[in-house]
Amino acid sequence: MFSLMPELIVFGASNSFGSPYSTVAVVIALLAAVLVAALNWVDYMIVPAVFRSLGLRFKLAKDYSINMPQDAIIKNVNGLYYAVGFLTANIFGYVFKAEAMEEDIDEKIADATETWERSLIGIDFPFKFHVLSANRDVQKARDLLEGKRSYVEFQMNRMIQNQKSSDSELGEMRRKLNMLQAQMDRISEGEKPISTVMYVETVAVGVTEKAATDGLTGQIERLQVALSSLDVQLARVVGRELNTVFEFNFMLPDTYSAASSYFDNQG
Amino acid sequence: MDTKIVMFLGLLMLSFILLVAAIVIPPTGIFTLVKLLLLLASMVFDILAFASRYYHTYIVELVKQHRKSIVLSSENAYRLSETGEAIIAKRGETYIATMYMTIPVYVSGTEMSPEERLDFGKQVGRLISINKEPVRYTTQMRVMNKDLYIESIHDMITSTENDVLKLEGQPGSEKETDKLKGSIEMWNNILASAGSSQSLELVSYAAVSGSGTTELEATTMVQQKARDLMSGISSTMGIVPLLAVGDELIRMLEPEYAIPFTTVSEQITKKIEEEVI
Repeated sequence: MFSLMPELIVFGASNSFGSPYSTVAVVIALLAAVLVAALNWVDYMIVPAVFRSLGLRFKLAKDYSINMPQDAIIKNVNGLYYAVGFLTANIFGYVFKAEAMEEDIDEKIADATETWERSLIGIDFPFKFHVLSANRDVQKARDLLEGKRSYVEFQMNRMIQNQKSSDSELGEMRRKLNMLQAQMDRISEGEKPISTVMYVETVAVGVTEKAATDGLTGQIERLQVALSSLDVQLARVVGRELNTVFEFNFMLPDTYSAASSYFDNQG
Repeated sequence: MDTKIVMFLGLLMLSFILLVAAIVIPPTGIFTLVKLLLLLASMVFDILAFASRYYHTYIVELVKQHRKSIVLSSENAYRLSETGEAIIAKRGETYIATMYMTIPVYVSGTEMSPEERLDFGKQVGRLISINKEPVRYTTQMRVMNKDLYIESIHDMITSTENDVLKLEGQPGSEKETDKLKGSIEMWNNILASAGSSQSLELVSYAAVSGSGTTELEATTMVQQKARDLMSGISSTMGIVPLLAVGDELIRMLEPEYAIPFTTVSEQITKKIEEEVI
């Protein structure tokens, strides 16, 4: 919000730039505002593109660097290039699934082992599947859900009173309410609320950096196909988050508060 | 104050100063151009201030180093602790020690009954929720380093060949000699199949970190956490987790250990063959 203040000031004081130039000032401020908003949502696309166009390459530590497209970590060992890449493996935020307690949950748990093993059959290259998890405080998690539920109930009541909302908007609100209630029911039944970040890491080798990164891209595409049956969203990690997940190999967040920002990113 | 916040506030302040200057300068003649340039600079600093939220390290080093290849750190990503049980990384004045422990699970879902699969699934669910502080569980598939295995097969063949030589010429040893020759044939077949394709192994492990202002403090902290985690894993899964040390620890961290050097030529040949086909 602070970052949009200069733009707001320009919109208010555009007259001080004189008659034809006030439009130019507003256009400049508008472009800056759009760029700030874009950085807020898709910085992982914009910043690597800027770095790439400037031809910048970053060395993370001794022996490790990020490649130019910012989608792989490169390590050179005895003239061989090892390219390390990552995929997020977020669980889909299914609204319809989450709004009701699943009756066949035991069946799903029982099938999970076989689904996992079947996914691995076609993989003939090294990879790691990571799950970073931490227990959340039960009372805090319950309070948070109750707060969210009250807010949704308030919004629903206002919609009903105004009589302006469509049935679909009200239906959406009801789904949100059911989802929150289902989560609260699970906690009440003794399930522990946990936060997780899941991601996949793979490594490819080549005699040149390009050979290694090409191999890595092929492996990542194969992993996306092989692990698709796990009901997870597999997106390649690029930009600053590449550095973050790479550093997890050497140091993990040691408290829940330090890790919470990563959990939030998983939505 | 955190350097990230200092940088954000500094850039935002600069943006405001330039903006105020752009507004107060009268819009006459050449000054109009100056006003617009100041406005442009103000917006650039504003964008940089926002970008510094995640990219402050990159921006600082970019400004400092003025070159295409930016060195964010030239130090080792980590080092082994004196005991070899933990790895130590340093960020600013904080030491972060991380310990890895293997979870030796040798079961397959295809060999289980539906009830056993359900129990196992629930055990894994409980495993992930035993820890209050962040723990990372990993399942890693890696290429086996078969050097020692192949060497042992070679030794076996040599020793059996020696036995054959000793037995040859001795009366009544034909049956034994034939058996040993068959054994040599078998080991040669195993050697041929072991050398022609790569073998993969699947290992599971957990990692936990602890921090402190000194290395000793961080290591003590992580040792305590690792002990708690190991006892939790042990009671949940009914297995004894083992602390990864030395080479085993490095194999979990470094990419070249996931694809051992001796298997690289094999992989590159395979890749070329695939491309040609």
